[in-house]
Amino acid sequence: MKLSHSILAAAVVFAASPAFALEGDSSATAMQNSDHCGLPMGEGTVAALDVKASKATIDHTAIAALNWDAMSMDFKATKGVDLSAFAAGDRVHFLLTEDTKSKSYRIEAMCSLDAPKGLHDACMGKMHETAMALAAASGKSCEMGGMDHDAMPGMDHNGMKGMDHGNMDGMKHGDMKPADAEAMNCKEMCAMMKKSSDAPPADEKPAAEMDHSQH
Amino acid sequence: MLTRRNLLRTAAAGGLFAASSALLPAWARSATAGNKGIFEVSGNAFDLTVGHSAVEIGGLSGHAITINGTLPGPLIRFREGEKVTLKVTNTLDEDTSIHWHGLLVPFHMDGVPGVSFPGIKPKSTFTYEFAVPQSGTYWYHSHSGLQEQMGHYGPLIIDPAGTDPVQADREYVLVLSDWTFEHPHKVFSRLKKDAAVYNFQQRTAGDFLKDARENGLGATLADRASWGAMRMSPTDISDVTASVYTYLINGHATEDNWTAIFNSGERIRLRIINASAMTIFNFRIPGLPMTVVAADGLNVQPVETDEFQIGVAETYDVIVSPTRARPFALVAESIDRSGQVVATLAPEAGLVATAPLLRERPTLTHRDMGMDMASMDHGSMAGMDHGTMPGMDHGAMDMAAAVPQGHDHKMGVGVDNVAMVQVSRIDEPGLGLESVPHRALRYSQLRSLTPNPDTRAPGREMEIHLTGNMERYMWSFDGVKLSEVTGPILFHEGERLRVTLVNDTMMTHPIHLHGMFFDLVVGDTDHKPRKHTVIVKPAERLSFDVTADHVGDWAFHCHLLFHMHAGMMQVVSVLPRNAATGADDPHRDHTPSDTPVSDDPPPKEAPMTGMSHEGHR
Repeated sequence: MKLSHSILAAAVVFAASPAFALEGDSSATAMQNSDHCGLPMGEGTVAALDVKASKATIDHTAIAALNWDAMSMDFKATKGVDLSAFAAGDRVHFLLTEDTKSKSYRIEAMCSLDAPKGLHDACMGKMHETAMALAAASGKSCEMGGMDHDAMPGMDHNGMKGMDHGNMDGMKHGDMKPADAEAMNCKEMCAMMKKSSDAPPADEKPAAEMDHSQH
Repeated sequence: MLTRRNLLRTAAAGGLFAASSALLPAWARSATAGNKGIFEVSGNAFDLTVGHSAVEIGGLSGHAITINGTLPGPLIRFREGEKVTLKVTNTLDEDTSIHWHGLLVPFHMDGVPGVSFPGIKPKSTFTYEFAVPQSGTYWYHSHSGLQEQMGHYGPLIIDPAGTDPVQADREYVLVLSDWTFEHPHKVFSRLKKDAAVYNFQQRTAGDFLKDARENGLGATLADRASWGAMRMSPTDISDVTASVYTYLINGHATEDNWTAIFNSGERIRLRIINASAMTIFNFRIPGLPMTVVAADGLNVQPVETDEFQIGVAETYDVIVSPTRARPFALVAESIDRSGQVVATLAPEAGLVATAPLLRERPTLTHRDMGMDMASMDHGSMAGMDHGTMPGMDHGAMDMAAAVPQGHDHKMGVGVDNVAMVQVSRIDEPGLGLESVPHRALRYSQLRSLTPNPDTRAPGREMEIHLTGNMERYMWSFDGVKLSEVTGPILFHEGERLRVTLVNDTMMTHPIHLHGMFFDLVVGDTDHKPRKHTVIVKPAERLSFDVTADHVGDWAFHCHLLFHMHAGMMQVVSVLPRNAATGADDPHRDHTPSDTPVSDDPPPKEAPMTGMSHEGHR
């Protein structure tokens, strides 16, 4: 059947694309200690969620950047975090910032390690974008490569639309050995992101395999 | 927390629901009412009755115009290529009609009163008969007055003649819609008088007390303050907001908790239809990625995403494969984020998914206003207060800078804005989705599964501007509303042409062309996504290629019902090959630096009175 041929052909193309050559979900450790523009990162398991109150209870491992031992803690999450995407039992990575008023740390971004890979990778990319934006807002340099955030005080985030995180599928954390990841700083990261945003969207291949031909 | 009050409320809601469930088709009933899947009605002959019905939504009673007594109407299901007969009986005291949205029917079966047929008179029956060469997820709705707002819509699925390339273990139809307990004519007339009438998150003292009781006084005060602070003009995003609307999935409000059941590891196909009158939705299932396999009924190459914006009248088919046995929320959030509707996808009946909090409202940017950031002094814009935008005089923006844009449509009271800089926004996910912490679908990601049937280069181009005056609630194409239009837009049978839409307004418009699919220009590919409806973002310039292969008169309009009602509609006439040429086409030479529309030839005949072309099929 002609139709199934074209689908098969498409499947072959997918398989041949770099995105498909990558595998494994070793991102768990890969990103754990990476420096998100100096902001502390935590890892743990969701113990309880209160979506209405934007609150998550997390059993986290030690967070060296804050000199915190492993323990169970309640965190407030900022508005950008969609807690309804998580469930108790999810293993998560989360980015923390200090709320100067309450002197407490709150979750700025959170990604589930138990989420399907595509979602997890996209989430981690967005987390890094959040970290960069926060660093820029607080005047900290995040070694942003050629991007001069100082020149964009009134930065319209709309202007960042050109930065295509959907295209970051090509960037797989799984690619990196933990050591690489640790060594990787924002400069490299941003360069990668910039590079991926330059790629024409047509190159982007769906990550999900849907082999219709076998049906 | 399980308080006595909550218990009582739950019990009351359950009681109301039991009473109302008889009105719902089996497939739309929630799991608690026994629905475990879609009740399929397939066949070649359908009897449909349009009438008045009482409905129960979110525990409240309302009055609806329904098909066969249900809201939404029954799921009509038949097979590709088979001839079907649909007898529609009108029991109303006013004319009605059914338009088969996206179906390639002969034009006199298209169901648009005044364009393709006279309409269905009160107490009479009209028989539709056609066979269509397509399959997929579609829908049907009234094209008469504002009946669509009152419930006159339903899903329609055409199964492929051969094997479906998309295989799933089970499937669910999700009909998204907006419901109002107010009469739509009242809503419309209020918009005409004051476009900002629904701008405010109008909440009553009663709401306040209720919220204060549930959330505490401090939280409620903070909530009100934050809404107040955030309040820019939603007119710029949605004309009608959750202050009037209750958003529905399969006729159910969030409280009704419509539930779809799955087993862990299954492939589930969701057929999502936006059957709203006025609401563009953002659809997502937090924590569960979706693989888009079809858009507007036609298969696309699978693309994984986490959220998509679905314009009024668009449809998407997605595959989800939950591997964890937990409830997921099916969330349809209005584009202005004034409200949302949540249903449940769960491993068993009786579970309620946790609804996400409403996200922060998106704000329009200078890009949306058609003002190029790069060409402007950023420093001077820092102090610009978006909160003051509702009162901003858009007329003042029609400055000299607009001229280089080369627009040639009519200026005047009906046009309050011209996008000075129009850009391609096909690679953007849509208003408010740029900053979500996950992937959001962009049109540029879509590729047709099969090669486009016609890959000729367009032999002709035309440009159509989407125009409006928000303050006066006037909406039009090229500055001329339908009642003043001088003639149809002419296509010639067999020709391939490129239509470029330029959105001169600050609103997102879902534009629908009847009678033919068009190929969205997303790059140099022969697998362009084929659609019947396309979202045109504020200040966007977007093109599609279309082959005029179906002779007849076809409606072409904004699918926001009140915009269409206000005049954002025209007729596309596909003239048969042998027709006498020389018809006056105001759009024929519609290119920049053209003469003004007013210099065009006078109307040769009224466009809405059954234009008859010799030789049409």
